[in-house]
Amino acid sequence: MALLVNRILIRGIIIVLANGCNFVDTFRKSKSKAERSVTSGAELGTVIGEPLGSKAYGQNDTELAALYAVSTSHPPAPIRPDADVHFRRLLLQFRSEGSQVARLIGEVEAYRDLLGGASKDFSKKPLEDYDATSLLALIKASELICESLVAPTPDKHGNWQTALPQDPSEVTENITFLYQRLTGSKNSDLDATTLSSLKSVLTTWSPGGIYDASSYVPVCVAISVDGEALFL
Amino acid sequence: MKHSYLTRNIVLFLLSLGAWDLVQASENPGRALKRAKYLLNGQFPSDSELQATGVDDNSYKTAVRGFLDSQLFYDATLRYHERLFGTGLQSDYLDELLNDNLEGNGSKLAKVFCGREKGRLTCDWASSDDARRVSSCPANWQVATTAFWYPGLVTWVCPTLQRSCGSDLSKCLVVEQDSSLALNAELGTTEAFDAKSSVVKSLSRQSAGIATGVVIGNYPYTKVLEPGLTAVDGAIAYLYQQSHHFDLSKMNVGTSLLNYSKQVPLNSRHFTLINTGSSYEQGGVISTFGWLRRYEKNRTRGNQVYERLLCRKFTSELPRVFPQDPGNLRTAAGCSGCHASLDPLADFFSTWGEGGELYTGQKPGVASTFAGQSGSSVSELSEIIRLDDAFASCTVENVWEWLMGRRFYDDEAPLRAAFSSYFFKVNYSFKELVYAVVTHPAFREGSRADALVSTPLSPPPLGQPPGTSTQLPDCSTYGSISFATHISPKASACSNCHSAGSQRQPLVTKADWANLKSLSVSMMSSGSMPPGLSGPPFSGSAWDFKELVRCWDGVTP
Repeated sequence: MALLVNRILIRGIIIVLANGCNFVDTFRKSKSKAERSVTSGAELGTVIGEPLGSKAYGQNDTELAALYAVSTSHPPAPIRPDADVHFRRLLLQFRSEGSQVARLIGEVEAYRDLLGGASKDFSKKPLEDYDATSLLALIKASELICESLVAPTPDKHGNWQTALPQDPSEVTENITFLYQRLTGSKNSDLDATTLSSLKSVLTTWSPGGIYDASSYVPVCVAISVDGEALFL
Repeated sequence: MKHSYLTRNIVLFLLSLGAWDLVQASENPGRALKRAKYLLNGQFPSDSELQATGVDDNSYKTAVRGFLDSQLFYDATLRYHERLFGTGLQSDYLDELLNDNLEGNGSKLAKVFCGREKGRLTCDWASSDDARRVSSCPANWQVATTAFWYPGLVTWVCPTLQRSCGSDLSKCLVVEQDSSLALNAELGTTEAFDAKSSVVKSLSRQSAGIATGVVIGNYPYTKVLEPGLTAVDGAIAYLYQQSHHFDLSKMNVGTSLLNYSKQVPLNSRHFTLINTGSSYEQGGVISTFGWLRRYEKNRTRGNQVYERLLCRKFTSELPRVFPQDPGNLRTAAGCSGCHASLDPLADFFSTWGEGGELYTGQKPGVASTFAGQSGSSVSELSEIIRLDDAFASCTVENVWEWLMGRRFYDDEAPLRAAFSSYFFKVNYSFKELVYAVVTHPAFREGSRADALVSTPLSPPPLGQPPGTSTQLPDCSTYGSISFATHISPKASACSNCHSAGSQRQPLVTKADWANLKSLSVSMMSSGSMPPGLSGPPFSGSAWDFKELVRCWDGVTP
């Protein structure tokens, strides 16, 4: 028995080695999240070569207190998330940086100009708000992203799993989760009217009350064009 | 049919939302936290983060501090500066840097294609005629070698290729057949790598990389204009190893920079600051290849400095009839309004060639003036800008707009002055400026208003020393100041080095001080002089003396 196990093990190792870096690659992938959270090389902000002189100062509480006392009557303006990097940022909240993310961003890239992104040389700046074209492009790009998040398939998305936290039948929990993650709002901010509207999107897409992960793609898209997602 | 159902229901959902509630006339920690985390870290906060932050003021501020200390702040800062500097490059600019002996002949480039077949990653020579990979050996002769662009990646290559390209393939130009994959992947995160697109992307971002390095390292933000300071990431470090392919002297890459850049890992996606020491043609972000090639005319380079770093625009009323030959634009009616300032500013860049002439090497400088200061080189221009309070004020304006979504209103002059003062007092810490804005009640306001500012605040005047916005004491508080009584007895810290016969401009006599009053106040205000100060002085003997010089009328003996 031990001999059989050893033979299988040895054969397995040979097969792996014959396929080159697969073993290494698999091993590397398993710790890739940790690796990618550490910068290779010098610590960020260090200087090679001649010294750059003294650092700037830290927080000054006394001066800050005086600064806070200077007020204004004008509120902030709504900010549209950067059209060029928004989908990458959204994706990286759920997935690790890698070839699959790059491939998906490549698909979204086809819509970047319509989304209102900047030109390569920044002669055209990113759009600060939305027009009809950018909104429609946003819906289409959101479809691509939402499909990869909630209903990934092996042929398109490799080994990605759905980001839904619960079984698809747990409608309220899943919709609440999606709304919170895609808009940055509190769970309690999802009011009954909005929840009901999102449920109606779900039931329209999947009549009969039988839901799977793909049933949530239109819900995800709908949330992506919610006011709370469109502007900060 | 199903698609139309989908679209219709999404539209109905949108309509059912109703008007977005804009009226929340008080602080809203949840909304502020969401905006802060997205702008500073590129992520939305979780529900538990939102619950925790709504507890009290300290929890919000602690959360913001966490955002600034996160590694994710690097990406946010890089993107902010990418947009601020706008130095995106076309990919064919890299072809301009090819060695002349290659004669523009692609077949002379050592290019390799890498790709997987049956799960095995192999790299082969690239055919110059088409996109084929050309193997120079049978598969069973191939040897394992590392790939510099991806930690732990092993690829199989022919021995001749390994000998030519090195044990990590860094001596060759790597071409990725799926270029969109390489272009959309950050270096070091995927096995796809395309040398050309990665290098051009990094060169485009190099100015942003300098500024980001300064910010993350918490150096004074004025260092972004430090002559001799540059930033290198893995792709640029890789480019610098390609001296057999590219004429690096065209980019003014000297030996010290080449040597220092070898310390940067070739798969590093982050920029590392490299300081080679001052050089007359250098000025930090305004002398990178990206800046000089993207803004290829000297007038354009000057104009971009004026707009992006000083928040000003050249505007002038044009004549009714534009003359066919206006002659000297600096004096011609209708032209001089801009060109009287723009052309001298452009002259500071004259040491560099324009457009394709960028690569012809440095030329002699042209004596010029800007904001009342004289100079002839990019390094002197960068010094003039750094020592001008308008640079700090403009930084405040740019950060404000980034975080608040709008410019300052004219009735917010005290607020801009207060932020500028704080920025000065923290020795130009960009991080602390961001913290100050994000924790200010104005940012935490829950309501929103139009981004279009109907009555914008004008930029401050040029030529003011740093810290002017700190609302310095009125000079009348010091009484009458004379040179002999107040300045001369305390000037030894300066005149010990700035004496007649030394290589430095003398600061001994009344005439010397009158002549250099403005510059000396600027140097003392910024903490550059006397030597030994760790930053701008706010009290003590250095402050006192600076105030005396500032308030001296330059005449009273």
